[in-house]
Amino acid sequence: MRNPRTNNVWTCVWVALFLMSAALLPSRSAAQNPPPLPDAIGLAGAAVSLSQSVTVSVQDINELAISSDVLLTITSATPGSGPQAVIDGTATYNLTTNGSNKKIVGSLDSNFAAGITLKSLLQAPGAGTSTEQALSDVAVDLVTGFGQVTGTDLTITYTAEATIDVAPNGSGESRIVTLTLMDN
Amino acid sequence: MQKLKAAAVALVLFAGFSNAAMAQLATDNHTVTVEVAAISEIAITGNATLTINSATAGSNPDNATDSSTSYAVTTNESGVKITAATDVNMASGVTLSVNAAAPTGATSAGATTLSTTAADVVTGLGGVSEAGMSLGYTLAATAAAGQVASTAVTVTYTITN
Repeated sequence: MRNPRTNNVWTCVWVALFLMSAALLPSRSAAQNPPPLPDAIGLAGAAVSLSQSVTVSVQDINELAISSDVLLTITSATPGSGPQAVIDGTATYNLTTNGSNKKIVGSLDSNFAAGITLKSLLQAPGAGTSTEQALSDVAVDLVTGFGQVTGTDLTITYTAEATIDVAPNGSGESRIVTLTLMDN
Repeated sequence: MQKLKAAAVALVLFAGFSNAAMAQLATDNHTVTVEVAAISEIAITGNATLTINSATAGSNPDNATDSSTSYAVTTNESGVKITAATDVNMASGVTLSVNAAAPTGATSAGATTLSTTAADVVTGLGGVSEAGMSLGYTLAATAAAGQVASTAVTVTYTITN
């Protein structure tokens, strides 16, 4: 015959272990009965129809890439006149935008020496309007008024001019031309 | 929990603004090099005819002059000069000289006798482009030179350092 007090202790231990196991082990009922699929209609021998919501968004996409570097060499003049301007149309750019009313601006990382002018004329994508502009370290509009367009191999035409005051400059002055596609 | 919600909202807003700002711009760049080479050009306008046909009794024949021709020059270099030379030397007792006007900043050598050896006619050119500068020719002959048949002489001007 056990001591009644000892029986109570064993009873408490058993209850505690039972509760702990219930808390730690996954519920059998949950494992056996997964939650129903949304809007599932389970009818024996009938088709099962499911529906779900799919959200689609197209964000504002603007991409611009320039093809290659450019070298313009001023080499000649008509006697009595200043050096003849040099034109180069070898560089191109590609562009994609799904936005509307966009523009492209251009700028230099720093200005050329006094007397040297670099002008740029971009072939406009779509219905855009292009304007030849002298480039400087202040951005200027080169193409305006276009949108929702893609373009490849669009010509970038540069014109380099130098006054007679500009001395020969060896291998030349290099500047970084940055084109930026942005909202108009 | 309130703080967590606020942080979540702030994160969503930041993501929205950042996305919008980035979506408005696309940029690329390339290098453009402008090279200015040494340029020196000269051109002459017209031909000259000089005929000696008179004299003052007791003196050598009168000189013949012509200032109808001119030249144009462009140079972006410094310390440039113009030389002149003839393709043949003149007959004995006959002298052909030229006085080339100088463009701005340069110096004319004044009347310079021409021969097959190049002579400086203008010096100190630099960073200049001008046209219409006169070439003043003078033909002189001594009595001892006698009569000289009409002869075409080519005068070559060279712009050089």
